[in-house]
Amino acid sequence: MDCVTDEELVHRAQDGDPAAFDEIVERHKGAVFRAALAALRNREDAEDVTQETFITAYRKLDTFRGESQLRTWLSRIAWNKSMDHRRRGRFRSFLHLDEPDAVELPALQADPERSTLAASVHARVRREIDRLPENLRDTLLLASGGDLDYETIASMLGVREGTIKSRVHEARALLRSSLGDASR
Amino acid sequence: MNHQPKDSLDREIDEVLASIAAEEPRRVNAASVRRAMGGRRAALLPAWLAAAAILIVAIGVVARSRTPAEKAPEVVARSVAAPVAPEARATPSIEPRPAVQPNEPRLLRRSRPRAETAVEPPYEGLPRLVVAAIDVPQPLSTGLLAGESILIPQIEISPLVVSSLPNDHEPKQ
Repeated sequence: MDCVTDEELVHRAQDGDPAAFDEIVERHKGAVFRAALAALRNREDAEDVTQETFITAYRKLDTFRGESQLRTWLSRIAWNKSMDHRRRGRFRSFLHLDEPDAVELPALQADPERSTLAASVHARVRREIDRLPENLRDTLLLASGGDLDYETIASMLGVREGTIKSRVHEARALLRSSLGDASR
Repeated sequence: MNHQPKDSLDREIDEVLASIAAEEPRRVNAASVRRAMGGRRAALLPAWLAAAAILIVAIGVVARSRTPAEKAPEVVARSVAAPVAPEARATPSIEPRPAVQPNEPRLLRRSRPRAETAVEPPYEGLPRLVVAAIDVPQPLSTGLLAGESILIPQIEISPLVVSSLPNDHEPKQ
């Protein structure tokens, strides 16, 4: 089913083909998960939101008219759910729970000392990302995911495309500044 | 530590952002979504059943609680207008006649008003039984008798004298 387009999958799923919807899930779960992770910064919560997103998508599949890409539609659902999640204050610290993922580096066994150093540097960068203002952090993480273009991110966040570009630039500048200060 | 060059910082930032962008869900897949949808549907079914049951009970309770207040005047009116049989006039029974006939709808029977409000009107034209007041007798009292104490005269008893009797029965020698 790899060569089948999203549009065709949606039509099949709308006609009640469960395999088509399974394919939609498998194809887009990563993008949906990353959108949720950008907002919630917690793996468990992002997984929950990903699951809820596909359940909602299944129920509302009839309302999908194909005006936007399926990935964009799903990411919007995920983002809105993540915002609800965030408002409820159910997200946990990004650093505490996602740090173990950051140390999963290939060189971990080859050179433990170097890997430990890299892990600590990554942890420091993540900590600084977490300290960014919310609007900058959301934009940076969504833009870095590579699943969504700036135009889509702009419509999801309710800002202009130019704002996305400037926010990404500003976020990186802030990170550089804070990391540079910290390493002195 | 020395001041890190800009390129190095950018590279570190890019690495971290790339690692975040490479994240994949571990437990979400087509099967888990399908399971979750099935589980949610199954979880919703008892909820709907419970909601329906609660609704039915609530409607029943409301209907029952509202019925007496709404129907009571109607029942009283029917009772007043009901003709009284001649036998009933002649021999008024102590037992109040039911205000609602047995063949009336069940709802009306249930909503029969209490005796003090609804049973009174049918007996308005009947002669009332008059029971004469009974004089309550004075309660018995046991007052002290103010008489002389009873004296029992002493009886003189003379001792019995037994005369000797002839001894006819003496044994013969």
